[in-house]
Amino acid sequence: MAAESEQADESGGLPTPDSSPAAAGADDASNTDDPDGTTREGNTAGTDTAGADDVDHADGTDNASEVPELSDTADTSDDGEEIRPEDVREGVVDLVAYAVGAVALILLGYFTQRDVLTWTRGPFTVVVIIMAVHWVGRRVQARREKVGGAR
Amino acid sequence: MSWAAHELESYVLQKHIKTKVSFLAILLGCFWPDMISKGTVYGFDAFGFSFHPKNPDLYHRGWPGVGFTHSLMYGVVISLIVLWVFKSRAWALGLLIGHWAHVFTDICDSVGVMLFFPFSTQNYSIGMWAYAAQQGRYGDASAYYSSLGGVWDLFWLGMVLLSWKVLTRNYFFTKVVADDPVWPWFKRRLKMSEVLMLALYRAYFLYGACRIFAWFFWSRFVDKAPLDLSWGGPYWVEKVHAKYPPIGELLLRSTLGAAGLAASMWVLWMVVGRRLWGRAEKHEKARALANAKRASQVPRQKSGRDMAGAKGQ
Repeated sequence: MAAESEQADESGGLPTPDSSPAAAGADDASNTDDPDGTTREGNTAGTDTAGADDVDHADGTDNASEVPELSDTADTSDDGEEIRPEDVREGVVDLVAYAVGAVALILLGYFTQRDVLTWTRGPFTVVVIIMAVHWVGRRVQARREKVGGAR
Repeated sequence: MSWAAHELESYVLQKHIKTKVSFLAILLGCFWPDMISKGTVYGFDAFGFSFHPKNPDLYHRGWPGVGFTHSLMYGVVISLIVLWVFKSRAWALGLLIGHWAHVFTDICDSVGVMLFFPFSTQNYSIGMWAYAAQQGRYGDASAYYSSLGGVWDLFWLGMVLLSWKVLTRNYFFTKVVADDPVWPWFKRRLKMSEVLMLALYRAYFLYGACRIFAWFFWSRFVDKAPLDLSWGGPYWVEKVHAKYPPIGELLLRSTLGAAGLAASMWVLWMVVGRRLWGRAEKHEKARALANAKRASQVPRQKSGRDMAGAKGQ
């Protein structure tokens, strides 16, 4: 079935729509075996991260293998409760990333005009800056954890 | 023409449309008329070939030229083609809404658009700010952000900020992603992370908002263009306007144009649209059913595996 759906995606160019959130969830559930991540797909469909985690606990599936896939920067912690501070950290990094993106785009736009301010280059620049700040955030966090562990 | 308004209005429209509609399609629809026309409006030189329209305003918004891209009928045709090829109602509807939003927004400048093309080549405009593509890209930007055009962009920025929930993570994953099969496809096929998907979604808001300020500051401090917030300004730009015939002829043209458009849309719907819509609905239902089946099978297989594992232990 999964193969069928992927064929449909390819033949249609665009994937065919799932007409209800339930269907979207179903689609996500179908990706459970996808190495890309089970619960992350669930999150994409709008389910609560913690809820998705709870479901996995209830199913008795291997949490140790699935919890790290809850978010891109997920901690190695097995306990769902411990994700919360990281969510806060993620939120702060997000805020910094968007603020840096906005300031950079205004300044770059002011000084370079159309080298940045076009409908393709502008959003691309913003996305690159946001992802770069997130990457730096992850590196900083990893270093902090390393230093904390060593102490 | 509008600058940032075309990006920003997509967020507001997606929020206020009560039926399932793709945000990406609205965004693409908002860009579509200028995507395929604006590059040539300013003129270009490439590989020894040079193209510079004599009257950019007539070329951009009139006929003959690429003015048909800014007509209501063009949006209908494009949406029907999308419905036929991709069998997605959310995308067809989104493209139509986005395209029409662009068309109605461009009525605000002094040249306006041929609303009822091909049934009438009359341009309709309210002349809120001066059309300035004839000044070139930078002259256009400077004129736009020295006039009520910039205020129009700020209005749409305010509208998005009033609907700030559309920018939240929760709204994106529960509404935008759920209404559009392309986002899960991005994730599944392109292995996009949630952070990247969210950044992509918000990028056009950030770009739209920031370009208002970047161009405004550039116009004030680099180009040193005088600010003129009067109706139809700025005063210093070469004036080009939509030409109106006497009122009787205008009424006749408008009536014929509107009737022709309405009749052709009705015929298109009855002959093609209705079938394509029904076909897309069936396709979506079949797809949803297949997904539901898969969803019910996977946990069973999973629990079966677990039980087998437990027995083995």
